[in-house]
Amino acid sequence: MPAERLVRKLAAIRRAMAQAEETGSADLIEVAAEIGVKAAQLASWIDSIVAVERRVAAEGWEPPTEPGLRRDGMTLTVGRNLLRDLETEPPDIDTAVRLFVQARQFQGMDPDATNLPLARAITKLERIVGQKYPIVVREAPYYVEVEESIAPTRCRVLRITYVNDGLTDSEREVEPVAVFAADGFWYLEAFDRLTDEVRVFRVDRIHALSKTSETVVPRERSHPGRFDLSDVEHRLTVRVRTSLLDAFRAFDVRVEAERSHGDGTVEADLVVFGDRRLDQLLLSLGPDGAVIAPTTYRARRAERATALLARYR
Amino acid sequence: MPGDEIELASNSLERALIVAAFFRHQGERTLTIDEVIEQIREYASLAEPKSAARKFRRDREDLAAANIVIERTFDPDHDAAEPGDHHRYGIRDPRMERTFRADERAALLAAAATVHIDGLEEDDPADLGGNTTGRAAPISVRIPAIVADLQAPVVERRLVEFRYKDTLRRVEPYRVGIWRNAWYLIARDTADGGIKRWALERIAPSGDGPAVRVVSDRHAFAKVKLDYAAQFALDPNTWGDDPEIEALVRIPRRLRPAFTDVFDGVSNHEWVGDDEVVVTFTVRHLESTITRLLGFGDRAHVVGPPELVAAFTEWLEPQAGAT
Repeated sequence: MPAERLVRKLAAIRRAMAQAEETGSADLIEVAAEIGVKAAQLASWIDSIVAVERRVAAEGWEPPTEPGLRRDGMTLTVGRNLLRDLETEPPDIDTAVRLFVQARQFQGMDPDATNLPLARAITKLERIVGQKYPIVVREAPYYVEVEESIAPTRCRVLRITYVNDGLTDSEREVEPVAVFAADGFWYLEAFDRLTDEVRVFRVDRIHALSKTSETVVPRERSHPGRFDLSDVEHRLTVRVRTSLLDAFRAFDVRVEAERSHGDGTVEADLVVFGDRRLDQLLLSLGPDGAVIAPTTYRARRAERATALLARYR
Repeated sequence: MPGDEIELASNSLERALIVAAFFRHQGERTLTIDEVIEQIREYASLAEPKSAARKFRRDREDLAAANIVIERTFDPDHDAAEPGDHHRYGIRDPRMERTFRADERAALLAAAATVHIDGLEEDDPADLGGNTTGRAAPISVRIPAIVADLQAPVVERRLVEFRYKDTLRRVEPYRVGIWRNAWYLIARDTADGGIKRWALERIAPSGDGPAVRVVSDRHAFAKVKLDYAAQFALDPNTWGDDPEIEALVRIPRRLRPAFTDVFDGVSNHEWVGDDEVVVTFTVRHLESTITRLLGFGDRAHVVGPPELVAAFTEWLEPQAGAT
């Protein structure tokens, strides 16, 4: 058989078995349509894998294990994935990087510190990508309490003291919906009884939390994952010392474009979210920095600087 | 051989996979061609050893194209005067140091079902975790695509080029990492030999090609031993070289966690009533300290030492009149 044909067959089988292993089952008609082969053909190739499994067991090449492949009509289920067990090549670098970040993050959240298979897999990934990887989402003091308050059928109402992005704090009762992480932070999606709407709270900004005895049926999850911050977006063009541009990164300023003036200064188009960060950015331009546009921000900068200085006189 | 009633492979797909399973079973043991032909029934059943050897060669080629490699190494014990195959055959990665066992795979799949990676290219559904990522995972982690682009040059020690701050740079890439939410590359700049941190966000996308271009063969530079934990300790007050000052800053107690999130090494100096606390930390980078303090607006008050108060107010004074 020419190699391309075998490779094509194995690619099709690998695809079907991967889906069955990862999601519980695979519909061979769907997989066959996606990869452009006949479903009956794919089913017969799958039967060859069943035959190989039988042979491996008959030869005693492996100790008896869980049932392997099972084809029930056009539905495939996989107890063990023979093809992946036989592979000798590591995943490609993109897949390895993805798996590594996922595994490290999962390991950081996993209360079962003795998850040895995960630890072994991480060691292998480290060899493949040539370095260690960090846990990307930062710890939050009340993460465990928040997560524990959420259950599939009844959620416990929480009383929290929350500091918002403008550093103003408030006490509120919330009905938890979901906890998730995005862009390095944990978030609690909850129905906020103070505002009567579903809101998203950064868990590390909850600085006091108590569980009430009240439970509620969880609301439907919206799981935004990304946030629409267009309402609080500020765009401006500034001229600053080049070295300062790096410092701005520490408070989430996005540098959209920069044009060097060749004298140690740079003109940069910046994006920043929220009034507090806008004020921080304006005052961080420093004594020799300047706002180029919009010009209205010049007055704002002077006003904020004056107000802050007044506290030192 | 046990089980004489064993059925032979009915097609070449089955035969190739049986060969692969046989070698996986051998583990680190390697075999001569005669042993292979003798022990794999499909070859042993052929009348001519030569045609069995040819079939084995084709099966190896087919398997290699499908990521299952049976390696051939020169056999030093073979009598060179004797004709025939002077090699031994064995499965690549017999101890599975770079491939995953079933339980490791299950652990990785659980991780992939929980943590969604945003930013990297879409996965092939046949890739490990390719069917789980992208579903409604509770954790979403954003990674710049450039992280993956840099990883192969890091492993293979290849030089790369990219545009950074309007200048074309050529670097030896060592490690990729994160500080707060920003990703960085630790790499030696070939222009001046300095090992620097490069913010990936500032590597400019190239209009007509990849942002990062590989410009050398493998192993273009030697392995470098660095304290990478220290390299990624990016708080400017860790690496700054301004004269050290012990800052004293009064903040509301409720903002203490937020303050600690921004400044490393913060400790309490004294409580002020029920609501406020004076915290202290070491300043080694004055400018970044001032710009970060400004994020707390009028809720952070610099109370000492006098040189820090002076630096803070001198920073603001020209701006108060800058309209």
